[in-house]
Amino acid sequence: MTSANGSSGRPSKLLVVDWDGLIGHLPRAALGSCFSASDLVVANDAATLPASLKGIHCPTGNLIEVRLAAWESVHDPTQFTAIVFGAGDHRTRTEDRISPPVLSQGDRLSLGPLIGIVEGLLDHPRLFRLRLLGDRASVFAGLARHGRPIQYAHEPEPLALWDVWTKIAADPIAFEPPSAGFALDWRIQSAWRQRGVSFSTLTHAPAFLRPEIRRSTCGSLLTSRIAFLGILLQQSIS
Amino acid sequence: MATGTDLKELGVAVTGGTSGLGMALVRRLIGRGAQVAFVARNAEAVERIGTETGGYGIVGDIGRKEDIYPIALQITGNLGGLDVLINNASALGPTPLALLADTECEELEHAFRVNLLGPFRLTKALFGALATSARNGRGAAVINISSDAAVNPYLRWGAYGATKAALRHLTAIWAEEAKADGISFLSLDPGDMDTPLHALAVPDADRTTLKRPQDAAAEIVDALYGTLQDPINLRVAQRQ
Repeated sequence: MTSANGSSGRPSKLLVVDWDGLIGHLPRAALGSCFSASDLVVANDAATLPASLKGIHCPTGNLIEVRLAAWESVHDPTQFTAIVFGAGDHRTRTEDRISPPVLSQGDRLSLGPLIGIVEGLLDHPRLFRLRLLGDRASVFAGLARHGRPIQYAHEPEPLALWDVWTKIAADPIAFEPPSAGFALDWRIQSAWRQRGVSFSTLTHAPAFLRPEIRRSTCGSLLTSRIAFLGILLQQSIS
Repeated sequence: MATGTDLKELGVAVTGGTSGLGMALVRRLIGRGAQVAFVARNAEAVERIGTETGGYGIVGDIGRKEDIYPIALQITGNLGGLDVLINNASALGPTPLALLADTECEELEHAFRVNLLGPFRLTKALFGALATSARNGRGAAVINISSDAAVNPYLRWGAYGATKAALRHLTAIWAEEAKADGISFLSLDPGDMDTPLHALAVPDADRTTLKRPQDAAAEIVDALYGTLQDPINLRVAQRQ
C-alpha cells in the first residue's frame, strides 16, 4: 500500500542544509550518523487526527466532506476551523473538487456519528468555524470511528491511522502528518544517544497556534539553548 | 505512603476495564487521583463504568488489529498523552478448558491476538506518548498482566499459558530495550482471583479461597507507584 510514511517502496532521501547554507543529499538511512555529540535534535511528536469527515449538509441534503484544519482552542476537540468540500473524495485534486453547498451560520452537518454546527463563516466560501456536539470523549470516539486521515490525490488507496502516525507520535493534534518524523525510529535514537546526541520533541500542528501565540513561542525558542539543525525529508520523485 | 491523590495528573490506560481485575484497577487508580481511560468491547458496560467512575470509556477490541489505532487515538486524545499503559484484557482460549490436542487452531489464534498481539500493537502505537512522558520527567510504565500459567505447564491451560508465557518474555525483552527511553516494563501476576474469567476457567472453584480483584488491584497500583518513584526514571529524564 502506498502510504504517507514513505513505505511505498519509492526511495526517499534527506535534504541536508549545513551551517553555511550548503545543500546536500543523503540516503534516508544516514540520518542516524548526521549528528555529533552535544548536538540537539528536536522533532515534532504530534500524532495525526483522522481529520476528514464525510457527511451531509442537513439543510440541503447534499453530500459534503469536512476537513478539520485548525484548533479554535487548544485541546478542545469540539471546536475547529474547518474546510468544506462538495461530494467526492481525496482522489480528486482539491482544486477540482465540487463546490460545497452554501453554508449559513447555524447549519447542521451530519458527519457519521457526529453532529456538527456551523458556528460562523470565515473569509472564504469553504472555510468556517465548526462546533461538534458532545463531550470530549464522545467527539474523540466519533472521530476514531468515522474520521479518515487527510491525504493527497496522488495516493489513491485510503490511508489508515497507522499509515500517518510516526513512531514518535504522542498527542493527537495534527491534521496532517508531520512527515519529517517518518525518518525517525527508535534505533536511530539509540544510536544518537550512544554518541551523545540529545533528542527532544515539541508538539506542533499546522495552524495550531493563533498568530500572536506563534510569535511568542518562536521568540522563546530563539532564546533557548537549541543549536538548530534543519532536517527536511524529501521524498524522491526521480 | 500512598495517599488519595498521589497519582494525581497521571494518565493511565487500562484494557479490559469493565470487569474483574481491570474494573478494580480503574476504580483504584481513580481513587488515587489518576486520570484513567479504559477499554472494553461492550458499549453498555463501558458507558456504565464510565458513569460510575468518571473514567474515559473507550469501546474497542484489543484482539482486532483495526481497533488498535482508534483506541490509541482516544486514549491520548482524552488524556492529553499517556504515562502508564496496563495491558489487562485477556482471553482464556477454549472454554471449557481443553487439552491442546483438542484445541482448535482458531481458538489458539484468538488467544494470541488478545493476549500477545493486542498488547504488542497497543504498546507500539502508544510508545511515542510514553517516551514523551518519560522525557518530561513524569515517568512512564507499561504493566502487562501475567499469570502463573505463564511459567507452569498446567494441563488444559495450553492456549492461555502459551500466550501468557509469550507475553511475559515479550515484556522482559521490551524492558531491556526501553530502559534508555525511560519506560519501565513490568510483568505482574495478580494470583488466582475471583473474577468472571476465573469462573469461566474453573466453574467449581471455591470462591472463598480466591483473591479479591480489588486486593490484587491495590498491589498492582502500589507496584506501579514504586516504579514511578524509582530514581532511574528521573535520571533518564535529566539526561535527555
